[in-house]
Order: sequence, then structure tokens, then C-alpha cells
Amino acid sequence: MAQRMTESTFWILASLAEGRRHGYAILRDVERMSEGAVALRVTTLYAALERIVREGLAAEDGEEVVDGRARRYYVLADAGIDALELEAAALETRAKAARGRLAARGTRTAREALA
Amino acid sequence: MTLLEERMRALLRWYPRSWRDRHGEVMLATLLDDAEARGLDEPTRTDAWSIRVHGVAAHATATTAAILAALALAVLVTVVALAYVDPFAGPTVPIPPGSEAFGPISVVTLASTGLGLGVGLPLVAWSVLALVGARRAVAASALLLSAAAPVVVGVLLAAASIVTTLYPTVTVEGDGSSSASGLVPAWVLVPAILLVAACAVPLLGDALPAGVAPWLRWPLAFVLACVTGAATVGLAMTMLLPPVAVALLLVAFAGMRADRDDVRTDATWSPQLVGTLGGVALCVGVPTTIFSVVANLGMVPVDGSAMRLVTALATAGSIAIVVAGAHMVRSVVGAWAWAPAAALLVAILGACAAIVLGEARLAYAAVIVASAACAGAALAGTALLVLPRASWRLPAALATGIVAALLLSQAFAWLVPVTWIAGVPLVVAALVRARRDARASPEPAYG
Repeated sequence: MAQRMTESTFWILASLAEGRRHGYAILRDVERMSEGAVALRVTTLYAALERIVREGLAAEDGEEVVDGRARRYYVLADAGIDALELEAAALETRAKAARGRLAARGTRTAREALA
Repeated sequence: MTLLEERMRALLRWYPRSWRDRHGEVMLATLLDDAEARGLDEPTRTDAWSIRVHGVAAHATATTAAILAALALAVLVTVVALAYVDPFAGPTVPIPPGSEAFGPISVVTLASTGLGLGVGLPLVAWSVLALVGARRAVAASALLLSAAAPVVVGVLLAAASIVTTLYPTVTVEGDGSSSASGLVPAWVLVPAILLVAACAVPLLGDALPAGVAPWLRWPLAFVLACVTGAATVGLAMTMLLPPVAVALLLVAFAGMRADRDDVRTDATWSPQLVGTLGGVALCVGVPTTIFSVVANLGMVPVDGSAMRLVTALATAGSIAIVVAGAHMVRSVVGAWAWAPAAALLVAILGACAAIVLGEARLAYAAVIVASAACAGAALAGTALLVLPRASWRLPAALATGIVAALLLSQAFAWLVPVTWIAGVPLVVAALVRARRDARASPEPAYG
């Protein structure tokens, strides 16, 4: 099995999966996507982006200045798409396993309550 | 410029200049966007600390690791050199009241202890941490916490060492003779090991692959941290610290080279050749080491011819290591490959002369020259390749070569153990490389 990715890597890659984004947009998007459960700090975001670019999961994709502020865009690389697919599949397997067992437990407790 | 921007700019100075040149403006913009969205007039205390911690951690690069390793080497070489100074020729301190020391205590002894433990050890540890942090795979706070431990432990050990030199434990033997020992007591060593372990747990827990099961992660990190603590404190007490610093310098140079975009990385070495030679070194080194230990304990009578055989075998093992090393070095340093090759020739000639003449000292000399030239060439070659300014390259190459020669002539005084100690990493490196190659290009399936 491939090495599992960290929480912040997962959310950043998931955010970039929709298209190229700049740092602040990733921050907001992750907060929205995770329904407020994950609030990345700016420092953590840039440390994670540096690692993600170094590992070839994403790439820098141009810079522009908006309202006097520098914006650097990031875009998902092919390796990043593969890694995210793998991670999503692994999470799905886990969630399915847990749901299956919980459902089995639910029917058993219901049966016990009836008996 | 608003107050918020001013404060943020000031905080960003915690990051290294090269980092700020690359990411500074972009990160500042994001910080300002984020702070404004939260309606802040100035950064919160938590934000400020986060920037400081990440800024310091961003200094962890291969270049920083190389600088720290070079500083550590300079300090440790001074300590090695001080060992040659006659301790009673220089200034001495008077025996403190209540001490059972026999004679006046030399300032040189105290200074070399203080330097080696209090300065050398933290520098070596920081160099390791800079290499770990350069991958940006561990949390900044864990990295900084781990950086604090070696400083505290180094100063603690240095102080304990100086105190025990001033107040040695005197033991009286059965025959009336007495001896004084200046060993650091266990009640200092054990807390030092535990302190390093405690600070290393978060770092190791973070650095473990994400595939490790959650219930195993923290116990495993704790065990590894205890091993790290024991290794740190154990290494500090031996003369093995300088060779460790040389190895760190080499790794850091390789990291700096890999970071450069303009260097082609198609140079390669054969895992089969290195693995075979490392295996030869192991096969020769392990029995000769066992034989030497047995002979030293006086369990078997040893005559001149047996010692000649051991020397010849150890020399053969060293030659295998030198060939493997030269082969691996060639892939890194390219044009500098002639230096290891010449060193190898010296080693073979020296070994042949030693076997024919029955002269062990010749063999030692040959291996010392060969290893020193090999390491010197590797260091000098990599230094030439990675240093940004051309004017720095030649002085750096000369200095690193000389330092390597000095240190290895020390390390290779224990010729026999080195044969297999060097054989193990060679075999491991060959196995790792072979496995990676096999993964990269899977064998075609037949049938």
C-alpha cells in the first residue's frame, strides 16, 4: 500500500483538484470543504505547499499582482492526482468497513431489544 | 504601509533571506488577506509565534546542515588537536579544596572537554536536525523542541565532565596502589538520555511514515527516541563524533547538490559491485575482529605470523571498501575520480609490501593514506560542485581535504573494526539501491 498522506496535504490536494488556486483561496476552500473542521494556518499552508511542490504532487503556476498583493497560483500535477485518487480510495474502503460493522451492530442491538 | 503590514513584515524576518526572496511577498499577501478577513489590526500572539517557529524551522536546509557540520568539524578537530598537547606544559588550575586529584589539573583538558561536549555535540545534532527539517516533512514546533535538547544535554555533560575532572573518584586497589577516574556518573548520563528522548518523541512520531498503525506510532516513537538519546549521549563520550560530522558534511553536500536545478543527476553506481565488495569487507572484518578481541583478552597465544595474517586480511577488507567507496564517489564527483583511484593504488602497493615484508605499520600507513585521499577527494569534489561562488571552491576543497585526512588518520587507528563497520552501510546502501531500481523498472514477466 502506498504511504498515507497527512491531513493538510490531503485537504490542499483536494482543494487544488478543482483547478488552479492561490494560497489564500486554498485556505478558504479547505475551511469551507471541511465545514470548518480544518483551519489551516498560513504558516502551515506554505510549509505544506513547499513540501508538496518538492514532492512533485503540485506545481507553481504563475504569479500575478491583485490590488498590490502578490498571488502565486498552484496547480495539481499528475502525481498529485494519482496520490489523491489512492487516498480517496483508501478512505472509502475504511469508511465502508466501519459503516458495514456499525450497521451489523445496529441490527443486532435492535434484535436483542425485541427479544 | 498599515500597522498590520509593518508587524507582519517584521515577523517575516524570522524566515531566512533566501526563503523570503522566493516566498516572502506571496506569504505576506496571504497573511494580510487572512488577518483582514478576521478583522485584525495586528497579528494575534498565536499567529506571531507560529510565524517565528516556522521561520526558524525554515532555516533547516542542506546548506545550513553543511555549515553546522563544518563548524562541528572545526570544533572537534580542535579537540583532537588538543589531545596531542602535553597537558602539563600549559597553564593549570589549582586543585580545588576537598578534591582528591593527584596533581594540578590542566586547563587544556578542561577546555577540550567543554568544547567537545558543550559545543561539538549540539552542532552535530543541529546538523542532523537541519537535514531532517530540510525535507519539510516534520512539524516546525517538533523540530525546534528537538533542537533544544542537545544544547541542554551538551552543556550538562560538559559541566558534569569538568566537575568530575576537578573531583575525580579515587579507587584504592588491593595492592595499595590507587587510581583516579574522571568518568561522568550514571545519575547524570541517565537523565541526559531521557531528556533527549523526551524531546525527540514528537519529532519521531511526526517523521514516522503515515502508514504506521496509530496504536503503534507513539510507542514506536518512544522506543526510537530512547535509542536516539542513548546514541547521542554515547557518541558524545567517544571519539566517533568527528567521523559522524564528516559523514554529515558529505550527506549535506549531496543534499545541496540535489537542490540545485542545473546539475544533472544521471550519475549512477552499481549496487551489485558495491554490495559484493561490502560483503567481502564484512566476511573479512567480522572474523578478524573476533580474533583480535580474543587475542587481546589473552585467550589464545598469538605469534607474529598470525598477526601478519590478520593485518593482511584487514587490509584486503579495507581495499574492498576503498574500491566500493571510489566507485560510489565517482558517480558524484565525476572528474575527481582519479584521486580515489590513485589512493587505491597506494593502498594495494602498501598492502603488498606489508605482506611481503611482514611490516604491519606499512599496511596501516597505506590504508590511512588511501582512505584519507578518498574522503578528501569526495569532500573536495562535492564542495567544488555545490559552492555557489567560484572563488570559494578551491579554498573549500583544500580545507575539507585536509580536515578529512586528519580525522580519518585518527579513525583508522582502529583498522580492524572499521573494516566491517564500513561494510555494513555499503551492503545496506547496495540493497536499498537495488530494491529501488527493481521497483523503478520491473522485470518483464515470462511465461
